[in-house]
Amino acid sequence: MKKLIAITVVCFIVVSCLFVVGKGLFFYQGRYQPPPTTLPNLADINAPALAAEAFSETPEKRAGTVLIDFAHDNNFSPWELNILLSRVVSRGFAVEFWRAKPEDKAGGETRARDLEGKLRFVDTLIVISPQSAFAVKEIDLIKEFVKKGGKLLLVEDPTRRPAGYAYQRTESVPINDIATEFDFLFESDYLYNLKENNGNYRYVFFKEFTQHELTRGLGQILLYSAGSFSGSAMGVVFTDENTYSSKTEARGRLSPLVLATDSKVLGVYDLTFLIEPYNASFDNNQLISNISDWLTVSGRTFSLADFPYFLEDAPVAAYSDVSLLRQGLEFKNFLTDMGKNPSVAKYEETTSLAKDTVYISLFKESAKIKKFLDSANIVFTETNVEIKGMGTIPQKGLAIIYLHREGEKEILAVLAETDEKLKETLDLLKSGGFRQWLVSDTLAIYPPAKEKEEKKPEEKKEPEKPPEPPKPK
Amino acid sequence: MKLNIRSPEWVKRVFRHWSLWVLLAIALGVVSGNFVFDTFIGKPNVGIVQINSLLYPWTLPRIAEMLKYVAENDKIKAVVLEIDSPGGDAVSSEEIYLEILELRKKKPVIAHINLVGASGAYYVSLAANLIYAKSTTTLGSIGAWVQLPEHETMPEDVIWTGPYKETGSSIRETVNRLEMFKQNFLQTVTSQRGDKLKISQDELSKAGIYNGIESLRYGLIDEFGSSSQAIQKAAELAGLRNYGTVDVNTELDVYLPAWWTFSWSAEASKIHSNMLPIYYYLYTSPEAQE
Repeated sequence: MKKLIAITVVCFIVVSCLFVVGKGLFFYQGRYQPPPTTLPNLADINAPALAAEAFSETPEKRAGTVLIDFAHDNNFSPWELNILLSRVVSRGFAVEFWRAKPEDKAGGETRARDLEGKLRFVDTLIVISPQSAFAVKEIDLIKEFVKKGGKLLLVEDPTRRPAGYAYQRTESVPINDIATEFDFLFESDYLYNLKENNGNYRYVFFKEFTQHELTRGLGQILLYSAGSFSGSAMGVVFTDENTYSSKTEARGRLSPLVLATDSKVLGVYDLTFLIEPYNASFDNNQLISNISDWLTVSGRTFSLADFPYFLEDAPVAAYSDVSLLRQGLEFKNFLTDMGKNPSVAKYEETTSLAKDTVYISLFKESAKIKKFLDSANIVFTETNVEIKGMGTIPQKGLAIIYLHREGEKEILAVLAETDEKLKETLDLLKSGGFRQWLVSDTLAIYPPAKEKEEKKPEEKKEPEKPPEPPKPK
Repeated sequence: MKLNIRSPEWVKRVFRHWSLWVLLAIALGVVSGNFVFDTFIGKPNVGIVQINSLLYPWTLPRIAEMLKYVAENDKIKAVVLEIDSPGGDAVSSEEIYLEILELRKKKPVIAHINLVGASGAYYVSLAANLIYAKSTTTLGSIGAWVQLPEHETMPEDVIWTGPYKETGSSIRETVNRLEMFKQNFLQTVTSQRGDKLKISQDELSKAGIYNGIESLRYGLIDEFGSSSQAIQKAAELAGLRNYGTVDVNTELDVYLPAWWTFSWSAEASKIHSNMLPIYYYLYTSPEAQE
């Protein structure tokens, strides 16, 4: 019996084990071998050091005015221009913001008139990331301004454009409406470099420069949100072989800074490097100073229409005869209001002065400035005035305004037949209304009252108000 | 002689017959073996964990709960992560990644990516033994992004002890940290994919999106496969011949809202104040960000 029990127990154990093994084999065929776990070496993870280069400069003083467009919903804050503007101001230039007036929202007409007035006295115009379109008249004025030697700085930034598809749907790119007039185009891209950058693919180094005053002293600049240009403008700064354009996904010799129209127009496709603290990276401060130098070296020429802005500080209101002293004084007051620092004197006392002069005279005293009038082929006879190209005009009821340039000195001659006509002409000069009587860049002929009556119904032009006087240079 | 079956003699004769004892032993052995197997070994299962939500601090505890469950449940011998997500914030993504790495030491884990496994979701997948996807799956977006802190303000009625107490850091430092997050992600891809990776770091750092075909070509995934193929592979790695499956989400009553039901901006506003920079391993389109 004991033997039987033993057999039974053994049998039970064996069967139990076999069942466990069998069931195990039914479900399992091996064991899991976990693979080795490799973790990234965090010590190898680094970010570039934040290096701020010290910068100082001793700029040369100049005189002039920079106008900054703020009338086209421009996508920047004046705070952001602190660095650039402080450099411009330290060079002796005045800075003026051109802000849109409420009535300008209706259309470009009043804005254009405003711009026309502003451009008469500025040396440089800066347009940054405009969001609303320029009127055709405004673009024409800017072209004319550049033609007269004014400098134009166009700045756009890929981060300031409307985002995403909204940008693609934009019918007009306001900055390009101007840029294309000077044969270049802001591309709808941004530049990036995956191999060599300053902590982000968009923070691109530039080491290749064209020999130019804008690149003086540059070894390496760092642009934080640069885009590229196309067109025939001259590149100033170039990408390396590892920098791509986001639009074409191709490498090429791309440039985020270009010069056009005899170096009078500068396109800059990155605003960020002008802003603190990005200005302090590598040679960015030097580039900003070079741009400031470029902005403040003016080659601007003025025409009669730009009166009174072509008159340098401290002009002289010179009268030909003591009977005109009152008118000379009144005109002096006007120039004072315009921020000039004028004096009044008899003409004979002014001939040896190097100062700009406004000569106020009746026709009968015109012989005193004959040499200037001769250069314009204006000859006074007994009763007539002979003007080359215009023939002979009777003196009766006539007035002439003529701008003569002698070296650095500007001489503005205001001549009329009678005292009354002279007063009327000076008033016209003050109000800006003389511009409708311009016959050339240097000559305006104010006809007798009868002719005016004939002409007025056609022209219906309101007399222009003189623009706000610029800050004293 | 005829025996009375109730007689003691009959009982003795029966109990002396060995075959009956053996039969009894077998029967008891089967019952006992079954009990022992079920109690101490058990029928193996493959646990299926669905991660189809954004990886954010408020989805993280539920995902972690499921991962803990599959790690501690002895009957779950392998795990398949059914991933369908564009990622989330970097911290949540890394937390899930590390939990899966720990889980992988005990049990094989297969990541099966369905519609999308981008950015943080791909980061999470990297911790698995193998990554399965379909040829039409969207993967990649290996990179990070951050909303830059606003410029410091200077209120009259609050004062801080340091210039970055309010914003955390300068914009430039935030960008530098973002670069470190990117490098971390890239190194994680490199360390986990190893020699399988057939794409340059430069190309990866573009944070591009790839389909399954490209992903397989570049070594970002291991195989094409359906969910059941992923389960089969997980079982194979665990050494299972026959197995069941456990839907862990159902088991634990975890229902994560699908990622496409989230409003990105609403979610971001929950964790993102205008000042505090939060780093994301999240693939979003510009429209979604708007």
